[in-house]
Amino acid sequence: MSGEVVITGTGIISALGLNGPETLDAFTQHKTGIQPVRHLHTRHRDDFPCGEVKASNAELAQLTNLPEHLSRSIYLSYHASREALSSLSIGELAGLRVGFISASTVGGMDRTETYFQKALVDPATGDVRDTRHHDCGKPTDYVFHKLGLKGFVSTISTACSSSANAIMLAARLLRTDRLDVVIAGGVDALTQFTLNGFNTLMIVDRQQCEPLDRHRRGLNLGEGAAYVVMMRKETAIQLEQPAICLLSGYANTNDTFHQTALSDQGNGPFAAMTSALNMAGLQPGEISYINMHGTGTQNNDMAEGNAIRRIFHPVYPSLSSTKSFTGHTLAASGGIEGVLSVLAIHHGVIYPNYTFHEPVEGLDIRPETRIKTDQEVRHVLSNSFGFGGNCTSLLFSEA
Amino acid sequence: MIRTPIFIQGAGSISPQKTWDKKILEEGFVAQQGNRWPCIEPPYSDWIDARAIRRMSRVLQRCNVAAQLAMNEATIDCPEAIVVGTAMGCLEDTWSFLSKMVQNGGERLSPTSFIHSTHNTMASHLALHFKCFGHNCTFVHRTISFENSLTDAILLLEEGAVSQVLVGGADEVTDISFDLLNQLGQIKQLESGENSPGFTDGQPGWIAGEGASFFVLGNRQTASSYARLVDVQTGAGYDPEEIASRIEEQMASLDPGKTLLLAGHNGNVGEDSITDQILSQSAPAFPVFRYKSLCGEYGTASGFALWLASHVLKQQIRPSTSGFEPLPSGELDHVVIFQQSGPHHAFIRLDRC
Repeated sequence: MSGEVVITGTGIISALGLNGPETLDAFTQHKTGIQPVRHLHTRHRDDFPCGEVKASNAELAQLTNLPEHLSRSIYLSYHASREALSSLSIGELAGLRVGFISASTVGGMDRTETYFQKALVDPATGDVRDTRHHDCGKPTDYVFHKLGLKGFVSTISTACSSSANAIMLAARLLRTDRLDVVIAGGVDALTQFTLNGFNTLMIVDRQQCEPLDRHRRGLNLGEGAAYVVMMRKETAIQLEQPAICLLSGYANTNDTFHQTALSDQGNGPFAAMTSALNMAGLQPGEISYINMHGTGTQNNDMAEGNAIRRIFHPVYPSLSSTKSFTGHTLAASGGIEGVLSVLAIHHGVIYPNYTFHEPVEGLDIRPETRIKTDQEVRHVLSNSFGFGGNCTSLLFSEA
Repeated sequence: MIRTPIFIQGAGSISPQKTWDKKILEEGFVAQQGNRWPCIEPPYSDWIDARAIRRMSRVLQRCNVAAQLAMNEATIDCPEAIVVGTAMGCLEDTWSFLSKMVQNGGERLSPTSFIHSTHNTMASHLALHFKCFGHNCTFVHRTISFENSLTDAILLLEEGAVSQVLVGGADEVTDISFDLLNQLGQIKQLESGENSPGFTDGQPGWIAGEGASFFVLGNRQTASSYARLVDVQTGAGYDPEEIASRIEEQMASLDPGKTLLLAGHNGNVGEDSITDQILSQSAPAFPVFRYKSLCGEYGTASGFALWLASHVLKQQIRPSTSGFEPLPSGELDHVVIFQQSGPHHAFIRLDRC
């Protein structure tokens, strides 16, 4: 057993598009997904632009051929996981130990909100069955069943690093020969709960966000889902699935500073990136590109920037945050940015951070502001850091 | 199929029984009443600084003390990694923020309950409290959240990444969640004041329980070790016949005279008949005890079962609904915890060490 874990498929849905090709097109055209809210019912519709998936629930139901009135997370998760699995049929997986590991912070909270909005006004109204969608595992179970899978299933919730941890767990279950094929990633739909919650923290930008910029004002929330199909190299050969790239390193650490803030020096992020590099046996100078967590908040960009400076100064790889395109998709962000990292290696692209103007005070980090194509992208570091100090870095390498 | 020796070095539990007090081994279990069984709370101020308590929700207090109980037994001040399972997360804060948001139309909301509502609050609170910079993860997959956490902890020990890890499961029942479950027809209907029925009343519905159970798993057998953790498996999407054959395979090497099966019957006649069908096919000769008759039904009740199993093996005692009894004869070498619910089933095996 080589122990090498390869990525053979990707699926992504976000404010940038319904699939991988649409997503890449949006970057090529420098077309952001951050726009006024159209589908989420909220009082803050005119206050905060968001990275909303450009389809209503009814349209998503039609697109996925699923019944109406499910939670939005189910539609997004099913759509992206089907794209990830498009080069494999379920029949080909017969006899293999298959896993589906998703991630979520809100589950079917949108359905719970629907119920509460009615029932809190008049307890006689509202359909209590809406609350059966509430928990984070529900969308995972629904999609697992709908994909026709049987075997291992799990859902991780570590705030904004959730789906990076799902991908990491998948690799560990593959390397220890517990599973043969895993679909891993995550989903989060925009909800009033999260929009209002982040608003109470006063870290939501009223304009398109400017990650890594000295004058950054906060984050844009987004939504979406993304999954990768992972297997050991020899399984990929056996299934005749071309390896797009390797997952060569990963690490999960805790910053242990504050429930909603990272330490200024970015100790957790520093440890996560350093451990991922060590695992892959790579020197900092070998990294082609860092897809930063880069939320656009004062705290994240300072902490992450400091951690990157501690590792890479004075010679930085290409780097950018893609959140001024997608918004911060919370539990989905590690999956979405993981898929973007895989596509970066596959297509030789480096994504722009085009709202950047001036570096963060005290940091010499200047992200790419224009898309770069025809690049040799060999190793990509993808960062996901969340509330509760949860820090995870993934390292993708050419196959 | 754990490939490295793993021992339960410490165990702590807050539950509808007085599990935080060792006297429970002699004094036995309390008879429960009604269809909602709240935790018997320890004196939290004996364990947590009074100022800190005020900033902690009840479920965080339970996690904190259950973790301290386990860590004290294992004689560690700080775990090398923390993994938590919770099916429903921090419900009290979730409902609090949601209700205020709906009632105030999103105005004048305080961030506190939002911050504390996220599922990873428990694991990150413990990391902050014990200053643990290592691996930190939270599993939220319904009734197998706790088993998923054990799997993650096992991987860490197998990988050699750590020598010990704090792992636990916690869920709370709140007024709102109990009301919702009731409206959904999931809770057993009892007349007010009526004693809780045995778990064999043949009626639909279950009894809402809650709790927090934490363990220190380590790669060395220590004086405090309860048992060796030999296997943890979960599966989804299998029909009862397939589950039965998977369990039968696991039970084949075990002597029914030296094994206790802790089963996850929850008193709901429909669900229990499936569990009975699986066990009658896969383990007909094994003695069975229904652990949820002590702690009620909740997403991470198998954490309570692991606390029970640990004491059964270490003390060589057998649980009944009233308390522990010395084993009538011979020695108990294995405890198997089995539960199935909806599309999921899970299997944990412990061996005497």
